[in-house]
Amino acid sequence: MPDILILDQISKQFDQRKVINQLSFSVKEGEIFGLLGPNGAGKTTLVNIMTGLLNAEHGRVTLFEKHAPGDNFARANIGLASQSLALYEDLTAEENLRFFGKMHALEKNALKTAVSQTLAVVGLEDRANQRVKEFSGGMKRRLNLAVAILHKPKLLILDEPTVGVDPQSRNAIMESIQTLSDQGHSIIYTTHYMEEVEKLCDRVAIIDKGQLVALDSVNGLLQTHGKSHRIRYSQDNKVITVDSDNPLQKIRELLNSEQQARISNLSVQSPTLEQVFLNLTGRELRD
Amino acid sequence: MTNKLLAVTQKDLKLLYRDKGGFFFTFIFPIIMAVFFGSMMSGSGGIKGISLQVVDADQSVISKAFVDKLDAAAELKVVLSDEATARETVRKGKAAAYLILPKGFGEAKGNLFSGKTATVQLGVDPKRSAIKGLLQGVLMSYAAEDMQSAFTDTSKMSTQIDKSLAEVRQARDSGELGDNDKTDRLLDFLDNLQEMVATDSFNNTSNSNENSAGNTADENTSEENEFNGFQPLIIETQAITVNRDGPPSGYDVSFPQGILWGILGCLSAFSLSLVSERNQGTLSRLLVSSANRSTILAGKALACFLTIIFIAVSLLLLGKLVFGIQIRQPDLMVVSLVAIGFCFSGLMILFSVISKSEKAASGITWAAMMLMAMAGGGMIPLAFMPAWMTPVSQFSPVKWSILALEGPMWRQFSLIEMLPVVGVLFGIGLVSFLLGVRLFKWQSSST
Ligand SMILES: Nc1ncnc2c1ncn2[C@@H]1O[C@H](COP(=O)(O)OP(=O)(O)O)[C@@H](O)[C@H]1O
Ligand SMILES: [Mg+2]
Repeated sequence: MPDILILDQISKQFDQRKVINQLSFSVKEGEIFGLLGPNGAGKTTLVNIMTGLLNAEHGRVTLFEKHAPGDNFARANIGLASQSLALYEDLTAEENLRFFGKMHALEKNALKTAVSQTLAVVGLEDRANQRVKEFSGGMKRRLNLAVAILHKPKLLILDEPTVGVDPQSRNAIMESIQTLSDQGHSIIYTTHYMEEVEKLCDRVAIIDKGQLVALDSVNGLLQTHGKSHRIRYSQDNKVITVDSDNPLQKIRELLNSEQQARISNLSVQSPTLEQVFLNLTGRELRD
Repeated sequence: MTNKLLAVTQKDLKLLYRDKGGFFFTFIFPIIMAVFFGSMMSGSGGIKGISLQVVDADQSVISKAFVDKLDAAAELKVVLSDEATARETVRKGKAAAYLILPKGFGEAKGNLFSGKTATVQLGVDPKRSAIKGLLQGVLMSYAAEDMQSAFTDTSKMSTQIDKSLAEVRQARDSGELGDNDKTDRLLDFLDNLQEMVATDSFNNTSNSNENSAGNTADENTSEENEFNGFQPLIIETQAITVNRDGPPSGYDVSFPQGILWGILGCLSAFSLSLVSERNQGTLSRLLVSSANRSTILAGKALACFLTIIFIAVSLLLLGKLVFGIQIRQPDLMVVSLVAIGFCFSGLMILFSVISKSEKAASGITWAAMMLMAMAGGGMIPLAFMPAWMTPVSQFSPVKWSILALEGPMWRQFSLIEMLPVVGVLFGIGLVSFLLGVRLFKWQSSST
């Protein structure tokens, strides 16, 4: 698969403070590429550089093999669902979609079809004529995603598309993203929720403080950096957790010891990206 | 390109229409202002710095002294002129009034107790008819001041009276004055006065002075007008050319101002709209869409332009149908409206691009609006303005817009007279728009 996006030695600073530091990676056509990092890691800044909303001081971004961020081709073929909801609150869902559709040069029938299709993808058909300001946070997120996919972009960039939504909307959004991927869109997905990345992404870049910490498939990352399993059990009404690189051995020891009778609720958790992040940076991923 | 532009326009119009605050200040408030001030227009307050074109056709020592006196007056800002220019200047609204001191003014004024009273001609901009009474009062009081100083200077007074006595006697003897009763009474009065002055008792009897002045004033109102020696000045008011069919009503003045209020509301609403798009992220979304930057701005400008035209046309129609305002040259009015719309749409783009936050936007637009409004005489009559603002008002689009509206309404501007007004408006609009687009492109390339 060819690369749809190449970042080469990107650096960006705000007021003398380096926010992105010599960052390089590439995204393959057709994959769901996860960008995982805590708040303030530089994910949104990176997204803005990819879309041409910000210029990097150093480095080079190549899109669709020969295009630069912000050029006509790139703009026509990228869909962005920004972290901040970019919607007109006083317009209805359908009016928002129609307007942004026109901005992407969709006309008449094509526009009509696209609007009803995307409303269906995000499950807002019955809310089409309701003003956005009456929407819940989750519904706004879904509409924010809908606007990004309206013009069927080759590359979809989703910046924290599930932040601040209820579980139901979150599941709906995750399903929509999977559907879009199945339809052949390439997707860049930024988040600080590792569960989403584990569930969705083919490959993951972990970034912290503007630097690339690791880049691999989810399994690859877990195998390389997520050494220990977490064993959890109750003893004398206390919860005890033990990390072990060899959980089977540890459990055997526990069950053979004289404490055995007092142990209950034993569970084993396989390595998570959470732990991977902890191992790599010495810090928790959660804020 | 065109479709995208129109889509932006349509979206911005919808948003304005649905924003309660913006809607109120753009559509409702101007109507309230126009109607309210139209009906209140006759009211006035203290006035200073009324611009007065003075024509001294007499060129006598006395007329010159009177002009100097007016020139020194705080209430007036005197510019010497010739008759044609003076009338023209007032008609165009560049001066509040003109005053003509005709030939013989000095003679009549110098000769205090003859049958003649100094006469002047006064023409007041009908738009500022509220100041007419005030202006008359001011002129009267300066003329009366002259007279009082003549009274208190006894030697001058005495010569005056002698001269008058001689003239009246001569007139009676030659049979020029028909009513002998009255003439005799005048002669008696002058004789007594002469005596009083000669015994130097005059200065202590100011009461009698007031009495006699009161008597003559009464008589002056009677139909026989030959005895008006004590009236300091006769002010003949002249109609300004625009005024031929009667002065325009207060509504002819308040409706253009109402339109400007609406335009300023619209300016503020649209300037804010770009800032809130910046904050909401919809601007970023537009910038990563297939639309160009200039398309986005042009679409917004078009929405603003259409709104301005809509406000202006609705207010003019309302004014015409309900309040009887005049629109004498509808064809020129079309030109004016286009120019005004263009001017303020351009300004809107500049303001909205400069403002980075909602606070900044409302701050900048309100400050600019207040300055433009004050300096332009749109909301506060020019006469109430501090002096330093008058030069500022030359640059105020509000001032030019009001002129552009009044020209075709009732000032009877010719096409040639409209050209500079319309030209200035187009100029301001074009420069602001280009500057705005330039800054907008530069802003994003520098981030
Ligand atoms: N416009 C800006 N000016 C100054 N600092 C900024 C700006 N945008 C982002 N930053 C800073 O850059 C860092 C990275 O921010 P961001 O890219 O939004 O992180 P993330 O999206 O991963 O949470 C943060 O420390 C943030 O404060
Ligand atoms: Mg972010």
